[in-house]
Amino acid sequence: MTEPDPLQISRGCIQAPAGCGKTHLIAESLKRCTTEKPILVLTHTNAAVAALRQRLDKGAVPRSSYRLATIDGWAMRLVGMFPLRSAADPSILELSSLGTDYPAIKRAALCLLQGRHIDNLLAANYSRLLVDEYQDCLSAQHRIICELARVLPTCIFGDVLQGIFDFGDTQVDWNAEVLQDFPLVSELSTPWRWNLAGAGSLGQWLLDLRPTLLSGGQIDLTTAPSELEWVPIAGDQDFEKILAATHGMSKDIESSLIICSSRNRQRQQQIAQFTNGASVVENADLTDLVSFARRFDFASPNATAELLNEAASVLRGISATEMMARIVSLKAGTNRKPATAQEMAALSFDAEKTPQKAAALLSALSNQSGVSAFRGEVFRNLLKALHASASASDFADMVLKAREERRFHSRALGKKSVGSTLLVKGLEADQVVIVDTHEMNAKNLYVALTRGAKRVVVCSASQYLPAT
Amino acid sequence: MPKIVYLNIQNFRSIKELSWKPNHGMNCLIGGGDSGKTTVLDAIDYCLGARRSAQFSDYDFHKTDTSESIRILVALGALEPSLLSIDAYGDYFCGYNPATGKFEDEPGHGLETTLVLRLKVEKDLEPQWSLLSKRAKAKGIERNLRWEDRQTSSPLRLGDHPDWHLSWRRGALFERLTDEKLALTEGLSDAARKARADFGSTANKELTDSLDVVKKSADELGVPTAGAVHALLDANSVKFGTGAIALHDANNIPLSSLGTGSKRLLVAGLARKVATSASIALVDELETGLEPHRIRSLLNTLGAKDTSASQQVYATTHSPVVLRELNHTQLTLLRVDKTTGKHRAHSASESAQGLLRSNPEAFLAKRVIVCEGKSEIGFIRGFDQHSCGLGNVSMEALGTVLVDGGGAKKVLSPANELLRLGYNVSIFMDSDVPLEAADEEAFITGGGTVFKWPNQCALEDAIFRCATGPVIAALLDYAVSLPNGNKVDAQICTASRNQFNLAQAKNWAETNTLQPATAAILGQAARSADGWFKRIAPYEHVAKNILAPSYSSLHADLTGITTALMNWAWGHNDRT
Repeated sequence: MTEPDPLQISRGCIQAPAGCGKTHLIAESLKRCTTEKPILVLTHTNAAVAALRQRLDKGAVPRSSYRLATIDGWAMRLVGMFPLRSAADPSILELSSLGTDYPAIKRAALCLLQGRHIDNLLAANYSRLLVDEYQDCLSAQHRIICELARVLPTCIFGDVLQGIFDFGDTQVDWNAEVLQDFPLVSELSTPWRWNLAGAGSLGQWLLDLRPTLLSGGQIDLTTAPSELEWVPIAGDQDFEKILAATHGMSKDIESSLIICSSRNRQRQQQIAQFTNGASVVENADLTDLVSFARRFDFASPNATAELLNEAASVLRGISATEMMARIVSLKAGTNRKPATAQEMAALSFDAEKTPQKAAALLSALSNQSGVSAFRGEVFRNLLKALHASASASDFADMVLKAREERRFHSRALGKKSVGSTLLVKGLEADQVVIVDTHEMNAKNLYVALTRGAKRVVVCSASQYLPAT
Repeated sequence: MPKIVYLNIQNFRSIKELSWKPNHGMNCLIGGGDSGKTTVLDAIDYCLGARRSAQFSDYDFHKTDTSESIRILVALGALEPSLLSIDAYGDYFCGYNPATGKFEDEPGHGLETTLVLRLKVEKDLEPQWSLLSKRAKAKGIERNLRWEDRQTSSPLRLGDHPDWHLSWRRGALFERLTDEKLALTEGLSDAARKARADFGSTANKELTDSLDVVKKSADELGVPTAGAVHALLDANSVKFGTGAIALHDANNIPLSSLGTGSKRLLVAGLARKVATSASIALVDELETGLEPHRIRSLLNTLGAKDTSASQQVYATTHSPVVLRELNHTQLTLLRVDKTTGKHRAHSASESAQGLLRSNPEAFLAKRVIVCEGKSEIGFIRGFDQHSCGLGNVSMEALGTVLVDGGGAKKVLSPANELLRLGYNVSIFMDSDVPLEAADEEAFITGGGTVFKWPNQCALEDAIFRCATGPVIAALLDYAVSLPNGNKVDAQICTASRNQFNLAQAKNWAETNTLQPATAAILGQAARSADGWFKRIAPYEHVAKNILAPSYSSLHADLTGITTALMNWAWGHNDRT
């Protein structure tokens, strides 16, 4: 089947199974495009924007040939430019209450577009529109894209089987809405990711199981090619086998993704903590760090203990309770064993509770042999925020600032990364180790299985998945 | 291509304030001297021109009052794609409703998307260009047009120095015609080197003595010369800058030595070829250096005859030849409102169209007398010529133009239009077919003046009823001397129902025994179908050579109106 040409599609959808060269197709199209006006490329998350931009830069696609943004970010910008026509309360742009502001921004953008107030501007600014990851669209976003498609030739990319976000009835319905408004033009069918990694038969097997998963059937792991290893486990507490699987990394494997439960974040942290060299993939909101920043009081008498507890929750090889006991006795002068460098730093913070001392303490802790971060992103951003704080009162703001900056950077994966399907969607590694299959439905399972280009390891009690 | 939809000038040179919505094509500005026509062109040029800075002095401020800043605001519509860039100008777009002439803060459905650019100069004399937008201001941001956009929206000035555009230099039309590039530097440097080599030591031979003196002095002072001193071409003076390549004709004569008119015509023609990048043209004194037929060429080239003009043109003129070619919509009259001191741009209406064709001079005058017909024109001219003969300034020199209204029924429409445009207007007509009382009342209330004879009479009636015997005798002699003079006797017989003839009338006149009733009948005869004097030249003669010399002998019914009329024509009662 010849590859479809997105630049020839005036209004339609290209169905893109995982690993079939969708991003490559987008990059090549942008590169090929010779119109004077750039192509508007919209996707869903800031991380996806960053990842796509990195890909495009790598492919030497001139930045002048496209404008890349998230649907919400782009909508927000337009509403900010034309508040009157959007009939929007300007306060929604401050995003002080995320739950209601984002929906309000989408409504405002829709009002602006439906009023046809900027049709001429759209036509003058963009030659066409490409939308990635369409299966993740909310209905409100779909209506915005439909308005744009009235003015701009539009090609959307998506795969219903990768639609693992579930926002209930606000999610766009693939068959009833998407394919009605954007007729299916083509489906990509070459498993490039695996072909390029020398695991073509795995790629083909993954393509072949799509109809089964789409129709609600079960797949049999024993029918898979040799690149897939089934590790039968007794249950989700079978740590011996699970940790053996997550530790394992053969020579030709440079990166490994470990996929756990989406529902239980403790589980991801636990697996990461006990898997050497592993680090958790954090969510975009850095929820734990932000709640620590809001909770932490430099002036509190318990500040030292709380900071040590936080350190222990992100660094492996630290015992907060032992260390606290030492600090207490060192302060009381009842301990003969001299203080270590780390303990000196802790005493120093205890005496003068400033962000600088806190940063010094954390650095000292992480520099010990045998200590490493299993929540590297939380640790780095915590340190960054402390360094950036001139005083204790700045700390919470600096954490939020670090979080916002992080939104616009693509996530670089470590050697071993632990996350849920929601967090690793769009990422890929040489190897994927799937831990909690009992919680995964067909879509989650498909997303998880397609993350490894060379090797797939599945820890599961049953050979038939998804579990019923 | 960008066009100006609205212009506002404040405190710039002769203009205290002007608000104007020009049309999309030709805008021909007229107005008396110092009415600010060129100031308008300069304002557009300063505001939109692609210049990084501009020299301002205190004299550029209205009445040199630097406490009020100069503000020139231009709203650009018909924006091209680069000016519609959301990334660059999203916070600055406004919506303009051409139907209501109103601006809205944001673009909208059915509105024209515009950008508002303002040049502000305060007393530090530093020009500041910025885009205006309430929402950008609320966000605390400010920006100017991007440099490349300034270049594309920069107006083309067809001024006194069109030569500039005929050389290859950045921004010149010659350079903007096509995408062709000229790799100047290398070739020119080679040419310079070659010139130095060819010239060689030519100068040495003629300057041997001088060179010897230099050499000796240098040696004596121990200044090193490596053994010799030569007179060669200085590399610094044999250097070609921009503009080194210029257009020449087949005889290698530079096109810049063409006449001003030809150059401007050519440059305007080139501008049309690059209308993509020069969509606004500023033309000072459109008629400069051009014969009437070439004025028409230039107007055509500037798109004055196109219904959908690609170029927006701002021109000034003092030439009726130009005006005659224009549509009334293309004409804008600048005037200062006496009460507010502000400028107003008046657009001509449809009722000006006929006048533009028949009497374009009227639009260039200070005062206009709309005459009922040719007789009235001749009558006024005759008195004016008589006055000139006495050494007074002529009515024409004082800026008064006479317009042939073409009959009593037709005088009102052009007179009212001229009055609306702010001219001093009067009507000079007979009173036998009077104006509607309400129309006349409205005209006078609006500032117009009506000169008409008392007692429902025509010009001839007034003259013959008010003239003394010798004057009537002279009129009769003159009537007989005219080409239709052989009909005069019959006309008198008819008018008097054969009660008397020419010879009798003349006899009574010479002996000063003419009865008033007889004089009235002569008046009737004079205005019968083939009237005796009913053209311009005969009436000029009547007024100049017959009536004026005996003016004191004429009855007040004639001289009262005539004196008032001529005083008006000489500008003694101007309202503006």
